[in-house]
Amino acid sequence: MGTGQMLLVMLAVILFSTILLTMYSNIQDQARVIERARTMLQGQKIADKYFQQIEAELIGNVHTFSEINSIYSNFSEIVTVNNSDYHVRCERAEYCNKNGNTPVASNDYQLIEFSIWVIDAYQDSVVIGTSSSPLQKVFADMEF
Amino acid sequence: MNALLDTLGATVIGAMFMLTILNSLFNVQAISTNFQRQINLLDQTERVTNILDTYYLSAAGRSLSSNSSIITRAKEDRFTFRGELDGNIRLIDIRTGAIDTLRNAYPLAVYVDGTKDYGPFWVSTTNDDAYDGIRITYYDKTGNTLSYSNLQNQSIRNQIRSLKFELELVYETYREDMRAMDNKHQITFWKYLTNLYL
Repeated sequence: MGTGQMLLVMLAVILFSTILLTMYSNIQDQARVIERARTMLQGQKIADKYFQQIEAELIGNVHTFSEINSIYSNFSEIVTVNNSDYHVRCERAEYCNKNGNTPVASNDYQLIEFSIWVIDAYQDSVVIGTSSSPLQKVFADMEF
Repeated sequence: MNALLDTLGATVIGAMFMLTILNSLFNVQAISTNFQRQINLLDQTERVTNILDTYYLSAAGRSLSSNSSIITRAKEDRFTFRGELDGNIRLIDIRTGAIDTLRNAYPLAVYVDGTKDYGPFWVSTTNDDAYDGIRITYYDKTGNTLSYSNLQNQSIRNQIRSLKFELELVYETYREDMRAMDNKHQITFWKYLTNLYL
């Protein structure tokens, strides 16, 4: 094999290696997207847990409407799921109208908003709901 | 003689190069297939948890007096309760069956009045948290955990107001000789049995 042929083979190997590295890099990116989607789904389930809890506690008279407002006005908690710490923060617990608009004079409805952040398996920070775009729900005072 | 040696050398190098290319492409294809399966598993898990949550578990205690024995069994991997489902009072049983040795997984299914209504879905045999694919934790009205041993008593089961479902669904991997593990997906969801709060 001549020097020229050898160089051509080496060039082909280098080119193929570059393509292969790019392919693996893209696969790694896809893995991160999947992991992020999994983490976000879990985060939504955690937020849903708090919404369910508030609704159940109101129905069961465990807490009054004003007590819920007081509890969640300054609420933050860490929930550990599958060895990941989800940092849950209540962004807002504020009286509102039935459409969720604030401020209002009456205390018949309450807007509660959560945001969650977590460090995922790739050490990336994943945010599920932010202070500007939180996960939110309006609750009605069923005693009024 | 030199020409023959050159030809042999080129053939060997070319063959090695081709083998490397084909092997790499096959590996990439296998990984891509596993990713597709992982995405499918993610999608399936979401469907399963949503139906368990909004259809079956929401029926617990519906149209029944809170004095009656609504929850008849509360174990780590099995939850049996009564409630109105599709217009009739039913006995709903969420449970895993015997291990399937071929799949190395447990079948998770929902039985309504003793007949399989939904499932099976395959949950893993082991995971890092040392539970077998499914773990249900039970809480009372104030959020205190109820121990499995105490939950053998009906009076304690009557105190259940919410659950935590930890699931790990599993999907066989495309190739087992690549050190690739089965595709798994862990999900945890909570259910507050609002009918029991009334």
